[in-house]
Amino acid sequence: MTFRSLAISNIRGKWRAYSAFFMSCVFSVMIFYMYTAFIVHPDMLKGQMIEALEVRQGLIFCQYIVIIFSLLFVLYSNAAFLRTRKQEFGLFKMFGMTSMQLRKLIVFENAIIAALAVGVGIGLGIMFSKLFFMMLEVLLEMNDPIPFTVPLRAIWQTAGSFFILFGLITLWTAYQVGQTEIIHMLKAQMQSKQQLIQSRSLSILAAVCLGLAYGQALIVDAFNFALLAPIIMVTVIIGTYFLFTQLSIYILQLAQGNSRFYYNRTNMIIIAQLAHKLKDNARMLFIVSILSAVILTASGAVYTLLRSVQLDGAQTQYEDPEGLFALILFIGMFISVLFFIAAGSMIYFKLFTELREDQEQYKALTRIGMTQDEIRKIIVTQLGIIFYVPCIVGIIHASFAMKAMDNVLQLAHWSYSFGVICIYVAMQTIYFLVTCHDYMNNVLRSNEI
Amino acid sequence: MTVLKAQGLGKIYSSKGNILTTALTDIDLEIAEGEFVGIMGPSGSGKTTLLHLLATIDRPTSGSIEINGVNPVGFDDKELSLFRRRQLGFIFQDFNLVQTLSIKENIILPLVLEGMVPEQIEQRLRPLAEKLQIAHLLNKRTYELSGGQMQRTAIARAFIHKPSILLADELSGNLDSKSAKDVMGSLQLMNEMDRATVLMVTHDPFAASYCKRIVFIRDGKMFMEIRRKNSNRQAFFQQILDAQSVLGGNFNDVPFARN
Repeated sequence: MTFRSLAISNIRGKWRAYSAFFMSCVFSVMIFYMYTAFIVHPDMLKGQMIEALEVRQGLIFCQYIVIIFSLLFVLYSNAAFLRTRKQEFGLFKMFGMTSMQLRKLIVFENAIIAALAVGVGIGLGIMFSKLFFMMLEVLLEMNDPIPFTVPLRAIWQTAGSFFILFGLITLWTAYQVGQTEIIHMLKAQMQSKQQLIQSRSLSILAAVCLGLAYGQALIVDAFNFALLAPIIMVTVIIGTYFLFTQLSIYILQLAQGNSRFYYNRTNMIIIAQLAHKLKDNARMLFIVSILSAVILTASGAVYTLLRSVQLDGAQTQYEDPEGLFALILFIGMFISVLFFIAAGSMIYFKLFTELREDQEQYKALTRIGMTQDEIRKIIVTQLGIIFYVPCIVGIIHASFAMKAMDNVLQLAHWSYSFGVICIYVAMQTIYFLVTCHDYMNNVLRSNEI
Repeated sequence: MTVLKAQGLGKIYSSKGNILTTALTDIDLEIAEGEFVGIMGPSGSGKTTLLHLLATIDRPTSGSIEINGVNPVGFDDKELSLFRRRQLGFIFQDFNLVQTLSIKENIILPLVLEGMVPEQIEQRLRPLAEKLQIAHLLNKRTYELSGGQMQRTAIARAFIHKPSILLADELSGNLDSKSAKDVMGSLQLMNEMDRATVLMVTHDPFAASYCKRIVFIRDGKMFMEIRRKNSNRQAFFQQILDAQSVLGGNFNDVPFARN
């Protein structure tokens, strides 16, 4: 068996584990390609489509966001994926694989994944680029359709960027894996299920910070905006962080203290597992909440602005206000969709990296006579909380932010953002249902005795 | 009173390409209340298959099983699950404790799932935990316990809902000799003090020497049966070793004699 065949059979045998990482990579590549294809489109370069300078700058700004997004997204996916494989690497090392050989294995694996992801991503990007162009035509209110082409420049820019990105990630991984001690690798999973500790004072701090931030958001106006805005940002971030790392666990522990509630059928399992899931995923949930707040505020703001312009027939200093606002709408939506997918994928990822551990637990529970209905109930409740709590926190944050924006701009279109929130909740629900279905199938299938 | 009655039990596995493998043929077994029965046999003799059939986690291809007068043959998945958790108590080689729960929560899980009120749960838990010497561990997490302590926790969980029969699968397989002795002592205690009916599958003659009756199976068939005549465990241990040599076959990793 050569190294290459070991790497290939590794990927083939653990396709499930690899697939989530692979999909994230493919998705990033696809988005990047479609966007680049638009930017370097021959018509675009000739300046036939959009002439306004602001529009070009906006599009280029957007491309930077796509690049940063891809980088962070692939990095995060890779880190999450590696964490699940620590034990496997520990085992290889224990059998006497040298650090050098382990690095070589990782380089091979990553090379295979990178080649496949770039190939598939560009392929899908080409397939869907016409659809993307059509969306742009509508959003940017273009008169002429953008013709379908496959710009070579977009292909090599995408392939080049992602090969560099994967190269950097591989180097970093290989470096890290060589550094870790075997014992830490093998014990990677053991450490997680300890007694949960939270601090009461930090829980209170979370509540105080959030209260302060919301209070300030209500009194903010055009005059004190410059002073209050940074304070609100900082307190909201601190409050949200401790909300997930401390306060949430504190609340669950209160629930555990109430034996009539806690010792009521499946509640015990739901809450005990949820507490550990929250602890393990606190930072992820924090990031998802903040992302949700950003998505909602950005799209709500864009939408509100547009509506008020339409209603008030606002006078602007721009010669082409319609085009400019269309662009703002496009950028707002584009960023929102990207962040939305990122936020959803982070949850999906986390759940599936913990899947195997959960399967063991559910198997144990089935053997002592837990029914499938009870397992379903546990899973739906837990996933529901993990999906919707960050979503709700994000909605509350965004509502206050939009109220503050109304005050600052002296508008009264706060209610328009309600539509945006509805769309967001609907999309999150679709994500939840898909994930729940996948997850349930996996747990129940492995459970057949 | 008969707790478990199996008649003409058989199991045939069919794999791809219609190759049939006979795992068990024509097993008759009757266990009365308060008995402590061991099932022994070489590797591949079908003893684990037999336990799975009796535990209702696998269905027989022929014959019938009655536990406490109920034949679960027509039950659907849900009814089977409920049947298992009310009528049976399980002890596994790998403990099967739930990591996210504390020791206490692991033990009371069967009662919690049945919706028993907290006061009654406490009443059941205390004496049982004292008896199994795990009362001081109740607030600990699973990873803080030794193998022996985990297995005693599993015994408590298997017994807390007063099942008709305790089914144990190689429960000493993952334990060192001292812990195995403690655990078997605990099981014996449950059997003698609380008249728990126990059925245990094992290939460890030391663990088996705690039983009152041992059924040997070979090639999926009943081979012989020995009973402990007096209370001398040492003598019974010797009897088991003799029976094994008659039985032949490969008793995988038979440990050295322990006292």
